Amino acid sequence: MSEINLDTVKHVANLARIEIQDEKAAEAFTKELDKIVDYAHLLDEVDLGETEPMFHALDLTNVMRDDTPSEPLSQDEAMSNAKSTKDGHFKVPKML
Amino acid sequence: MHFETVIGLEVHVELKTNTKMFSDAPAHFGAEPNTNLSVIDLAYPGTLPVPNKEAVNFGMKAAMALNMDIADVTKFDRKNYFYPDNPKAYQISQFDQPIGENGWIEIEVGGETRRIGITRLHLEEDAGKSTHKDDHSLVDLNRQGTPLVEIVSEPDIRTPEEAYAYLEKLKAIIQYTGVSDCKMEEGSLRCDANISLRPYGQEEFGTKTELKNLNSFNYVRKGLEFEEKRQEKVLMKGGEIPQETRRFDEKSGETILMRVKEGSDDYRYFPEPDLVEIHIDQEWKDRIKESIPLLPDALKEKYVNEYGLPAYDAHVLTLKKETSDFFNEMVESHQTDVKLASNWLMGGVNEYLNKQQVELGETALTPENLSDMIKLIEDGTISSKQAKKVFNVLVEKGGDAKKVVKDLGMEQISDPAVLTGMVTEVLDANPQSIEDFKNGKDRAIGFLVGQIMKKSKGQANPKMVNQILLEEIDKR
Repeated sequence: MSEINLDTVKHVANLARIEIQDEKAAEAFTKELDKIVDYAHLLDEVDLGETEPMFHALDLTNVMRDDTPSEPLSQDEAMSNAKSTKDGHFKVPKML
Repeated sequence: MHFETVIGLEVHVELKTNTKMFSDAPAHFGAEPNTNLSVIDLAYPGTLPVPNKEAVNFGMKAAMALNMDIADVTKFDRKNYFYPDNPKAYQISQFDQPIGENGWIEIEVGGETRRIGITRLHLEEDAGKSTHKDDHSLVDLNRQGTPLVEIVSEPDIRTPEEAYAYLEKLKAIIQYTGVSDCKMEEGSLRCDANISLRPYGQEEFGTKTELKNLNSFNYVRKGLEFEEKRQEKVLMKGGEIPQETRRFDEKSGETILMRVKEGSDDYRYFPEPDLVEIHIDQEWKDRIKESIPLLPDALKEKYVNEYGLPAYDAHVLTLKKETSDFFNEMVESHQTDVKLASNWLMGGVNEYLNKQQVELGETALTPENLSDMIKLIEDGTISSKQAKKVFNVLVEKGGDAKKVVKDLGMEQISDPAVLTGMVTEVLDANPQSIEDFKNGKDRAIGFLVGQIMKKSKGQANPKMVNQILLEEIDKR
């Protein structure tokens, strides 16, 4: 129990770029997340024996395509949902 | 140096496919910004990635050429991070089941051969490209989704010089397989370096720093040399090296702190739910294996053992596929003398390429016209000195070697009738010299040859002039 503490929540929020309003909210999230993780632990009760790990629910392999290009989007189409553009580029707040 | 240096290199190589790793948008360098995109590259909701089979083939080919074991089952994973050049907020990469593992290449430094281990090679997609301005950044997403392989070496490299040799060899091998151009200036080959120091004899590694912004093999070497000294200074003073990422500054030649390293866990890798596993059977592996051409080491051996070239020449000729392809064609298709072909490529041709800072393919030179020119030297049509002028035309403007020689008016006169005519004229005009020669003054012959050469504007075949001259004098 209580695998999730306040620091974990703040760390995960930071990684996910989620701003948590105040300490009270962070505490609420801690409780909620802890419950969720706890619930997921139900899976630990399943005896997997020699079952191989499974990475996908679909029983499919080798879904691939040939290396043949299609017509790409025009620059206007590609940028049509951009909030801000400049000289054919997406304009974003300064990085670095 | 009081410490042993431990270096590991991470090399990213862009694959030369027609389309992206997970979309069918074109993947080529140099297009107008944001014109090589599909809705998949832009991460529109509801779109699904589909792997490019050729990219998988290429990744396998590169891994095989690096002596790796190829996975029977390989899969893709999500690497999560936020950055404006990455519209999905994750990169599709491979985490625990890369396509290739446990490889090696051999490098030669100071006459000594060392084997450098390669931990893994995995497939992933490239991100877009950002340009940073004063108060904003601009993003071009053309590169987003371009297939990449990341090649991670074992921490087997011990000196900056070895790191340089490793990169040179890795680049040559990948280029030979044809899966990438490996052009650092176009970003199709990129390198990050990890470096740490430890006291000699200590098994445990020291804390490493990661170097970024290494834009040429030479900067990799310089950055590592600087970092080696910097870390030693800190350690000698009893200090500690924090795990951090540092940027190489080309102007000062120093490394500058960028950020303290995020742990690997922060990427929260998990299996990519939008993609299924790829199973690689023996038949597929065999097919790719057969498509791998002779690699630099094998070719080098052939040049030394079959062609009798010195090891150094063989090494230089096999640094770039372009060079050895050119050489092979000269020797195999145009029957050019091996040593002469090699000498021209390593000499005149290399000199020109270095001076002009161009690649062989960017010049007008062809295996055919260079071979023809060499044959014209061999059969005495032109002298080596004249060949330099012919070469300059061939490399700049191209064309047929014979025609260039003719156009330059430097064809050697080797017609005995024409030469005899000239000899006779000169002898008639210089009876004193004939007399002198017959009286034992050998120098007179030099004077006569000089006169004939002058008359022919330097085009007379000197060997034949000598012969005819002696014959004609005898007759008088």
